[in-house]
Amino acid sequence: MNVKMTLNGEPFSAETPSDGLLVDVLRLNGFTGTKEGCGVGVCGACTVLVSDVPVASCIYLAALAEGQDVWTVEGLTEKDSALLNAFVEKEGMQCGICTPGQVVSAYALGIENPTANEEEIREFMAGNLCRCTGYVTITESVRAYLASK
Amino acid sequence: MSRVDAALKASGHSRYVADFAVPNMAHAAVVRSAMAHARIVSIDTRAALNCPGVIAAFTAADVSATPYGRALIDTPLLARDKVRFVGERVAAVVATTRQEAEYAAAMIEVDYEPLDAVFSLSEALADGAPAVHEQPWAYMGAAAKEGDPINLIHRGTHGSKEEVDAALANAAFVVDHHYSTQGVHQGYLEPQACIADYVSDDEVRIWLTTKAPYRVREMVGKCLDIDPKKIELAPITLGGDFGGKGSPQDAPLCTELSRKTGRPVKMTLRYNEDLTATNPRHPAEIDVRIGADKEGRIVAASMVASLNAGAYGAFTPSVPAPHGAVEIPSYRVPLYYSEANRVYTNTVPRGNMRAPGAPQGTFALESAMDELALAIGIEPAELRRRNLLVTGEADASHVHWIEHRGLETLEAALAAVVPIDPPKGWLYGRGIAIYSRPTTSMASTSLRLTPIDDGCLRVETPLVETGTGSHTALRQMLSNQLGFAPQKIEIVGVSTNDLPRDAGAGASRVTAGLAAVVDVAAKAWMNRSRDEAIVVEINEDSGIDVGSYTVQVAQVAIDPSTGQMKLLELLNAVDIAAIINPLAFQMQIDGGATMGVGFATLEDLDEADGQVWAANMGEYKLPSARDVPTYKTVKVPGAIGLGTANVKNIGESTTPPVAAAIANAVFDATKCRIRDLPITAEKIYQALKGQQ
Repeated sequence: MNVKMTLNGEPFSAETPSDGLLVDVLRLNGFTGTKEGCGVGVCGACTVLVSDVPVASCIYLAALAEGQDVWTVEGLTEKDSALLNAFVEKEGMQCGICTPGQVVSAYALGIENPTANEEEIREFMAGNLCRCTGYVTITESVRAYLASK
Repeated sequence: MSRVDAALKASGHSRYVADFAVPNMAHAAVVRSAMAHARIVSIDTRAALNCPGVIAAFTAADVSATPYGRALIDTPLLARDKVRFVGERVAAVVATTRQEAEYAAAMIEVDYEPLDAVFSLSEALADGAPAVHEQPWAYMGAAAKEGDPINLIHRGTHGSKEEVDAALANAAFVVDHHYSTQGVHQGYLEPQACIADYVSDDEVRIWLTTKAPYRVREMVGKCLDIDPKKIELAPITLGGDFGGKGSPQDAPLCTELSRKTGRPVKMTLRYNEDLTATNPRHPAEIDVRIGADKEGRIVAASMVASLNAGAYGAFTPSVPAPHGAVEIPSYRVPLYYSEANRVYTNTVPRGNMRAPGAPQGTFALESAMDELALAIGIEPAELRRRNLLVTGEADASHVHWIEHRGLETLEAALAAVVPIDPPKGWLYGRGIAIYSRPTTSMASTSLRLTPIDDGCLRVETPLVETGTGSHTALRQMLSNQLGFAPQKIEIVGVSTNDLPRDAGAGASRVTAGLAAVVDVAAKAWMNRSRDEAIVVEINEDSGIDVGSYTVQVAQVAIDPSTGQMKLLELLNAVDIAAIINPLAFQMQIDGGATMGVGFATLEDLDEADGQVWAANMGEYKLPSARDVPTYKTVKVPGAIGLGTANVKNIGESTTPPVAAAIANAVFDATKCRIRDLPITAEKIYQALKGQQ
C-alpha cells in the first residue's frame, strides 16, 4: 500500500506492506536518524513526533501516519536550532544511539510542558533509555532547551 | 569546546552499521535453537527455499567447519550435530530483504532429539553430569585437560589453600558466607549488526558493530582461512559496547555467507536476539572467607568463585592472574587463596561486561567486609581504615602499585556524606563499598597526522569511538601538545587497512593508550620534514602499575510495610590524576554507577530451565531517568597518572562497588543481609518478615 504524510514539513509518500512499521518506512527512505533499539516500544530510540505526539515508531503502523504531520530528529533539529544546541553544549550524549529519541522527546516536552521542573523532566523522559550517561547531562540538555523557549 | 561528534549525533546524521547499505546487498537471518541441549536429527530447508526473495539457505554442512573464538576456539558458525543452548544459530537464510530472510528462516524445520541438559553450576559440576562438549580439552586454546570435570573450562588458583585454612582456623574473627549474582546483559541500545562483502580471498570488507576491529580481523581470518591482512574492517560509530561488542559477533558467519552467495550480506539482530543469544555477564556463585585478629586486622582471606560460562567459552580470555571475581585489590591480606572456575552449561554463552568479574566479586567481598565488621563489633569504615593498603605495600596478588590512595579517598567520601531524611515511616540506612582497579599500561595503537590547509591538522585513528568521548580526548591531548587549537584539529576514524594497529577499546586503557601515542606523535611532529604526513604507532607497556580507588556511599530508605527500597543518593569518591574532558569523565562516573544500580536492583535475565525469560526490554529493565538516584561526586586529586597527559582509568571504576554499597545500606536500615542479587523489594520484604 501507499502511505502519504507530511514529513519534516514536506509532502512524503512511500510504499509499505500493510503491516509495515513507521520506523522501517523512515529508515528505508533514508531517514536513518531514527534508530531501532529494542523493537518493542520500550527504549525510545525510535521516537518520532506524529502530530505533536511522541510515538515509538518501532511499534507504530506506518499506515496510521496517513495524513499526519510527522517529524524526525533530522527535521526538528533543523527547524529548531536551540534543540540541537542544547544537546551539543550540555553534551547530552555518549554513544549517540539513543540521542535522536531523546532529542525528539525533549521537543515534545517543549510542546507539552515548557516549564517542566527536574522531576517532571525525568518523568517525561523516562521512556527514553540511555545506557551510557547516567542521565545527568541529558536532563541538563532538556532543561537548557526548555530554558531557551 | 564540545565533543567532536556532538552535532552529528544530536541531529541524527551520525551513521551506525545498521544505517549502511552497500550495492547489491542481501540480508541474512538465522534460525535459533529452541532446545537447550539436543541432537540435530534433520533440518528441512525446502519450504524456506520456496519463499519469496530467498537466495540460499545454509546449515553447518554448508559452511566452514572451523570454529572461532578469542582464546578458546570452540564456537561453530552454525550448530553442528547438536545444539548447546536456546538461541544457538542452527541455520541461516540469505534473501533480498531482511523481512524475506526472517520470514523464510521461520519456515525452516529442525527435528531435534532432546539430551539431558545442565543449567546450574552444581548440575554442571556433578559427577556423571551430561557433557556440554564431549571433548572440551580438544579445542584449540583449551585450558581443560582430559580427566578434569567434564564441564570445567578453566580453573585458576592463586595462593595456598592449606595455609589460608590454617590461618582462618586460628583467627580471632572469621566470616564465611556464600553470595550469588544473576545473569545481566551489557544493555547497549544498538543491536549487533554486520555487513560482510567477500569479493575474493584478497579482498574482504566488513562493517561490524565492534570495538576491536584488528582482533575481529584475526578471528574471521582464522575461521575462514583468509589472510587477516586481506580483511578490512571499515571505520564505524558504535552505539554502545560495555564489553558486549569485543567478540566477532556474526562477522565470521556473514563473511562466509557472502563468500557462498557472491553478494554482500547484512545481518542486524533483533534486540531479543541480543538479550538471549549474545554474550552477557557470567552469573556467579562466590564463597568468601575472611579472618581477622583481635585488632580487626585481616590475617587471611579466601575467595572461591564459580562462573557460569554458558555453552561456549570463546568470548573471554583465560586470564592467569586472579580473575576479577576473586580479586582483593584494596586490602592488606597476608595470606590469600583464590579460585575461579569457569564452567560450561547449556545456557547462553557469556562474555565480558564492564570490569569483567569485578561486579560479582566486589559484591561478595565488600558485603563480607561489613559482615566481618559486625562480627568484630566495629564500624564498617573503621574495619576498612585498618586494612586498606598504603603506598609501598604489595597487594594480595603481590603487585606493587605506584601508590595507594584508598585511605584519603575513604576519608574524603565520609567527610562529604550529608544524611538525607527518608520519607516518613521509612527506615534509613547507609552503606559503603570500596573498589580499586589498575589502569592497563599496555598501549597499542597508531595515528596518522596530516597538515592540511589553513593551519589545520587532520588526524586519523583506528580507535573506535564507543561513546566514551575518546576521539574528543584525543583531539584535546593533541591540542595540548602540538599547539593547534582544538577546532583546527579534525579527528577521522579509519579502517584497519589505513593504519597498522589498535588493541581495541577496553580494560580502562583507552585514554592512557592515547596519551602514550600522543607523546610519540608530538616528538615525531617536532622532527618532521615540512608539510609531510607522519604515521606513529606504539605497542609497549609503560611498566608502571597505576590504579584508581573508588569509595562509594549509598543512602537508602526502605518502606518496612512493602520492602520497597529507594536509593536516596549514591556518592562516588574517586581518586584522580588529570582530567582531559570533565563532562566525559563525569559521565563515566555516573554512567558506570547507573549500570551498577541496574545490576544491584533491577536487571535480571531471569534464567530458568535454560531459557532467558527476560527476552525483551520490557522484561529486562534498564534504569531510566526516573530510577537513578542523585549522584554526588567527590574528586580526590593529586594522583600519579600515565604519560605527559598524566591520566588514569575511570571507565570501569564505579560499576563494581554499587551492589555491595546498597546491600550494606539495606543491612544498616533493616538488619537483613541480602546475599543474592538483585536486591528486590520482594527479597527485603521476605527478610523483614523472617525477622518477626
